[in-house]
Amino acid sequence: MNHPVDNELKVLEAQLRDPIRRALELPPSPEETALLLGALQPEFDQLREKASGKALTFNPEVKPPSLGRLLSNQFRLNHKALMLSGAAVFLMLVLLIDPKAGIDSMSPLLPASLFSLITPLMLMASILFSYRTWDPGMRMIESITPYPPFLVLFSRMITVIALIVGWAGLSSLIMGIRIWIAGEDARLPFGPFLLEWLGITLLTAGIIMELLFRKGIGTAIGGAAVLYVLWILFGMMGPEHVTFQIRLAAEAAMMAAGALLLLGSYSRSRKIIAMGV
Amino acid sequence: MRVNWMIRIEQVEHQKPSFTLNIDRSRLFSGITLLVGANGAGKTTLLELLSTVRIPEKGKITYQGMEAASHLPLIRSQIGYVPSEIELYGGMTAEKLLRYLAELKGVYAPSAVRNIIADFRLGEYAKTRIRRLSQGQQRRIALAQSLLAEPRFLFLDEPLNGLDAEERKLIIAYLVRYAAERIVVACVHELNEWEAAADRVIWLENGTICFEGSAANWKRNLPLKVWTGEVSADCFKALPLDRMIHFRPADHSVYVRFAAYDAPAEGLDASEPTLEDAFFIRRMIVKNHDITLCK
Repeated sequence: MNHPVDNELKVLEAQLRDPIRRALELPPSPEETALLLGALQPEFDQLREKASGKALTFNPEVKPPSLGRLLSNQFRLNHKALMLSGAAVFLMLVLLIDPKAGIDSMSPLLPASLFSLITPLMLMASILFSYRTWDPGMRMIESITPYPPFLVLFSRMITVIALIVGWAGLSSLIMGIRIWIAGEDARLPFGPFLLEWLGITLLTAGIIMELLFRKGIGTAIGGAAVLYVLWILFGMMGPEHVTFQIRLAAEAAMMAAGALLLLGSYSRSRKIIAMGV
Repeated sequence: MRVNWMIRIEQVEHQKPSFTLNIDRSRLFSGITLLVGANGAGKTTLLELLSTVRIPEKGKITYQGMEAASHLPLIRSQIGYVPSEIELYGGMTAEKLLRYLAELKGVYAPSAVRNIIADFRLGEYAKTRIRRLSQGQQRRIALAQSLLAEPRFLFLDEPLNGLDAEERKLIIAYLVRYAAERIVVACVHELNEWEAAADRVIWLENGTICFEGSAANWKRNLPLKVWTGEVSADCFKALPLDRMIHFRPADHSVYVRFAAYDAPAEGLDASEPTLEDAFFIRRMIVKNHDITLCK
């Protein structure tokens, strides 16, 4: 039989077991706290994840992207140098050609008029100059904009092409007026003359843009140079091989092909979202 | 109230010639996150993916829940990026380049460029052609351009390269303020100067994340302790170099910072590890697989 005191002691012991254990237990060390905090990090992260509810929007100072703004931005990047060099070259061309002798006065032995020879060369040089983005770092920075990166490059190139074609068109007009003023003996066949330089220039531009997006600037300029040489060889073929009508048709086809290539590269430039660097 | 921005990386895989970046899951929050790791660990590749310069071959990265592929103009308008090496357009002046890049990002207000020129103390050189500026000045322009549109997400690849000590302090102080409500991820090699600035650390090793968490946790639970103090030249010679974190010759002794479980020599005291100590110790373990070090 148990003594009543023993029983009371047992009850007391049972009642105090838990409080005594808790009183004797050491508080957690800094290391243990750190360990616990470390273990809880994913849970803290999840709480932060849930708390990040604000929607992402354009900053108020950022204007929405537009092709017009992009073209204007890219034009201003190079405009001074290109305006000056274009003006100098085409002014020289206009002055070199004697209005009384007509457009072939400077180039009786050349396969085409000086205009048609110089304009594509000027275009290639201008594109090479304005490409600028040789450095991968700059290329990356210019690609992190609201615009697709190739659209930025396309806009830059198209402003250069427009500038060169614009200068050539203006000079053709001035020259036409000079020849018209000069008298009846010398006449400028304006349509065929325009077609002659516009055909090769647009096709050169189209080839450059097509190759630029696929293979890079070196191949693009190389491809354009090969086209230029082939075109000169074509021009050297006499009228017994290539009649005036065939030549006109070929130049019109070149112009159309160039315009199509430019349109194609515009469409591609909108679709490629990241630039290979 | 502090706005908590978040970038979520899910099962991203991206092949590089020497390694494959493979990140199962990662989260980036407002504040400064340091991206650390040895050369070739995948830090730059991760920054390029985050900044949308490259698109991951597999997996996805979302910015505040938006995927880059479907909201690219918006997300790119909120990204600033500084590559580790960059040759700015040398023929332009700093002001012209910043204005050009600001407009490209959609920022047309002249005050935006003026303010950033003032913030980065570029006023004196704003009208000078970039090719005539020093490396440090060019680096400041590179940093300034990344902040032109006040992006929510800023990715910096070795941002302090080429800067002197004073410039480094100023840039870090600027970034701490900037990161209060934005995500700043900086890939760095020199960790000590970021000691007070870093909120989180991501450690990459061979294309995978070995640690991701708070800067405080990065320094906790290390398998080795850090011992510092001065030892004699003979004692210094006896210490294994692969566990040496730092040493500096003193008058008749050598000041050392050494990683070991127990005190390796007389006169060395246990110290609190810094961010850089933690990196060295974690790297030691990975390189040597030396479990005995940890006891």
